[in-house]
Amino acid sequence: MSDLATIVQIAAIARLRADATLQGLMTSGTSPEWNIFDQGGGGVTIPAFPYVYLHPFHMQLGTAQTLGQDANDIYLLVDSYTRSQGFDQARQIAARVYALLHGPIAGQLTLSKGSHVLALFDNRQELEEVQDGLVQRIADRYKLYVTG
Amino acid sequence: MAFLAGYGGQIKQGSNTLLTVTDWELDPSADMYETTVIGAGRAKTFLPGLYGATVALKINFDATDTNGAIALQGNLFSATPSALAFTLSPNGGTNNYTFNAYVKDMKIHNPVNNLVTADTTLQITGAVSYA
Repeated sequence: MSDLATIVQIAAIARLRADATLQGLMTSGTSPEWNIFDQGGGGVTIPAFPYVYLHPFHMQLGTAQTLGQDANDIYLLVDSYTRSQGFDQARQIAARVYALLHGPIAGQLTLSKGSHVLALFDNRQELEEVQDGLVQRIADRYKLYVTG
Repeated sequence: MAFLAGYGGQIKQGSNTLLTVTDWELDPSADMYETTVIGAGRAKTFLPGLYGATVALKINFDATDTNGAIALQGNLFSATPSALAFTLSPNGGTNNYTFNAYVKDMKIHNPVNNLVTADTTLQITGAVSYA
């Protein structure tokens, strides 16, 4: 099975960082990262709220597999973290991410290897966590069909 | 014993490999003429007659793959037979079926939440050879 998880993650992060509307919502972010990282990608420096983590947490044999060509279905976890009064800010960020990733209107990601066929929103969880104070977390999962 | 895994299969139309096929099924069958007569016991008897075959293909539709569903669609509209070769698995050139077939029907299916597919039925004309 070809492994396209990293390639898909790079392409998704690049798309989110490049969007001017999402840049505006990432009020503590600066160019070029805009507080949008690989899971744990803040490293030793914990980014200020709000921030977004993307992580391809699950991969399986692909729907788009054909005779003579490999494929993966990759589940991408997109976590939007805020420290705000309620979930409004996190929902605005998650809604913009949805517009940038879900379905044919968002369009296929540009991959350095293989082909991205389709990305579909799968499910959402809204969580309130305690991390030195209350933190709102929206965990969205997207299913990406890739082949190659 | 040498079992075959389906992922190794291949389909060629002429010299072009079809890259977007997910499933194929070939079903050769012969007509059976009944020769049962009265007074020869309870068992039915038969004589094999004409044989023929159809092929069912499941294809992920890709308009840019002009050797795939688009080529078959072209053969359907122009009533041109396709020269096809099916390989069960890349296995030193063995396990190959070759034949000519007309495209009998295509079902282009566009679900909102999945891939566009083009399920196709081929009617084989002439002999099926196996090597």
